[in-house]
Amino acid sequence: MGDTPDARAIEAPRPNGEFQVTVFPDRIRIGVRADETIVDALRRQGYRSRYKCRRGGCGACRAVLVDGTVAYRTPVSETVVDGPDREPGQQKCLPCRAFPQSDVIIELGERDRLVDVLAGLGRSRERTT
Amino acid sequence: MSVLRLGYVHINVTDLAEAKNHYINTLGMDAVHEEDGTVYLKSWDEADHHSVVLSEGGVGLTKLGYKVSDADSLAEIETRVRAFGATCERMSKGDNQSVGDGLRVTLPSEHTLELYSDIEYVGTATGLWNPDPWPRGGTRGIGVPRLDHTLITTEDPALLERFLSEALDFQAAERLVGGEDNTELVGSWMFCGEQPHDIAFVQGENGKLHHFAYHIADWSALLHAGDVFSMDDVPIDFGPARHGITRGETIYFFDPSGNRNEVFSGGYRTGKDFRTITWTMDQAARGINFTHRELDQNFLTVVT
Ligand code: FES
Repeated sequence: MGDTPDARAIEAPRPNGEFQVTVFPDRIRIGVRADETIVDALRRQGYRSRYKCRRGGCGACRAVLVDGTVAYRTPVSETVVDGPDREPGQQKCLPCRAFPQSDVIIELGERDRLVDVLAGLGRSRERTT
Repeated sequence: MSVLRLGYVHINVTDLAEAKNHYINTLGMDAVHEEDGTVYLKSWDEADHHSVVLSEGGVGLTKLGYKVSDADSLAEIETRVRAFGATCERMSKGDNQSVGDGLRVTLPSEHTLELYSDIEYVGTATGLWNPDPWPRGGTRGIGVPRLDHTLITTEDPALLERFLSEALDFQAAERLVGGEDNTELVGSWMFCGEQPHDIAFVQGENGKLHHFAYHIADWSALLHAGDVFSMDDVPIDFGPARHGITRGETIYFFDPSGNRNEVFSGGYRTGKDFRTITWTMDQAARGINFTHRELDQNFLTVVT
């Protein structure tokens, strides 16, 4: 997959029911199972993104939803999703509570980085670049 | 005149069923009353009707209640609050379930703080006659015995400190200072009785809650709480660790809506003759997390 994802690929679930989530700017791509939030899937696969409450309440995990759709199974407050600096035309999401409904691309904030906490254990990962 | 302690905390939760499960089964509080999407809870060692109130819709703090010794004290506080120039109104019996007349104050930090002396007496789980040290029938989850303190955020810590000391007779046990010559107040940990703190605040957005805390017996109760958190997949903020400020022991965690809670043990005894301890900003991380001497970037900024 290149920089611009193919729209058809975005809509198609993987055969095993997973959707793929690509995390910008590192372009790390992970599979997210139907019963997992994006943060759950990142953790399962040895990554840490910035988060705090993991309950949709604090906004620490807030990311731009570049492409795709997500659903929230528990109510989240809109002001927490949008955050203080709402930019027109830009959609945000809370990865700690978001269940992908398609392949999804999210972009972390400038100061937020995806950390590979299991890197030392030598597991290799798929990256989109 | 005396404010006795933190009596109740009203918070919003996004999903009432999830929140009830957390506060009742993980923390071990008992539901005392429920109506219209609001649940009143109390812990086993608390005698008053409720200490934590959950209402469905959003996140964060609605109001704090501090119990005052008697009606005369309430009247005196009202005079002092008005003299200070803060907003306050009378609160009538029935405004709050099982709570009598009182005073509703808007703090300089925009938080709502209610003061009352009269609340329905329910009694602790162990009673007053030849009590057992803990409920023989058992507790659920952690089995928190009681509420302890809150930490809120304010744009002007110096103003809030002055208000709490002049209008409510709180004293600072510990202060965190910064700026040139350490003259700027960044945070203050204040007491009304003999605890290290009953209310604390740090610089931040007005009207927000950093956390509210439960007291638990000791360090091993704290580790037991940590076990329960892991069993129930409760997100931990930090701990178990020792605080420099208050010398207490802590685990910070989040409820299912993302409101921060704490289980707190230890600390020291204060009182009217207690002399204020000072921490400087270069030691702030150690002041808050003495064990690790470092803080997560979001610890002070994430509030609800
Ligand atoms: S981590 Fe708090 S909202 Fe996602």
